[in-house]
Amino acid sequence: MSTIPLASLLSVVAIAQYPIQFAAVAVGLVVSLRYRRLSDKMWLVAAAFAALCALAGVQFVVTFLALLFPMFLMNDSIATSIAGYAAYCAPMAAPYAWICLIVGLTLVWRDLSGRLSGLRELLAELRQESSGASL
Amino acid sequence: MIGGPVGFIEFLHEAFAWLAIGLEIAGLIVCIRYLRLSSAMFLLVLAFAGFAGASVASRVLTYALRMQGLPDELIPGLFAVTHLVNVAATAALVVGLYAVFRDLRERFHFVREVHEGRREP
Repeated sequence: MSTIPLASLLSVVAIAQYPIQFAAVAVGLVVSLRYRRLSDKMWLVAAAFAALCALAGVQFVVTFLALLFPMFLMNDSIATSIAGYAAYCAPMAAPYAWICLIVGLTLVWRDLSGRLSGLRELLAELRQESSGASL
Repeated sequence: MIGGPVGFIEFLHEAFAWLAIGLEIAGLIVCIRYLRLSSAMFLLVLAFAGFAGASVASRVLTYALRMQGLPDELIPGLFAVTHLVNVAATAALVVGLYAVFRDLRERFHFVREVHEGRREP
């Protein structure tokens, strides 16, 4: 492979990652909202995905603006400053969303695991009752 | 060393990058702990392993770039690979969560139907 196609491939990867990331996180938000009744703690997972969605959206919009208007980030305007700060602060805000996601997932797994083991015991009792009745 | 405000912001960036790696490893440990909850849980383990691996690789590449320890032509390709792994891990996280939630809901439905007598235990 020559150097030019490889360079263009790498730039396509660098540009395409933000919209794909944004779409994936938005799907995650939809999934967590769809299954919100599964546990009381699901709101933490949904909130984490909403925050990750917002962060990916900021990065996507700033990259898109920088691509559409190459001089955008070089202007000395308020919009440029806001976009620049947003793009710069996004990686610093991401850990809070990750904390929310991991704490949320831990609480949801613990809750579901406890409920499942309780239901398993109930199912075993029902099986015993039904086998006793058939005898 | 942390000099002026720029140095402090760089230090914050560095600290948050390592915090993110710690959180991804914590997520990996949590998913491994509850691996038996669902057969689709391995997707979440793969996702968190991918996130942690991509973040560690990205940190190592950043340090290599600073110390000029790698040929210049390799660096964009390696960064692109870390970005690709990150995007693939996000997709695996979302698909894994969907599969685990669907599996657990079906199991709860099954037990409820047995409890209500609509299905044999």
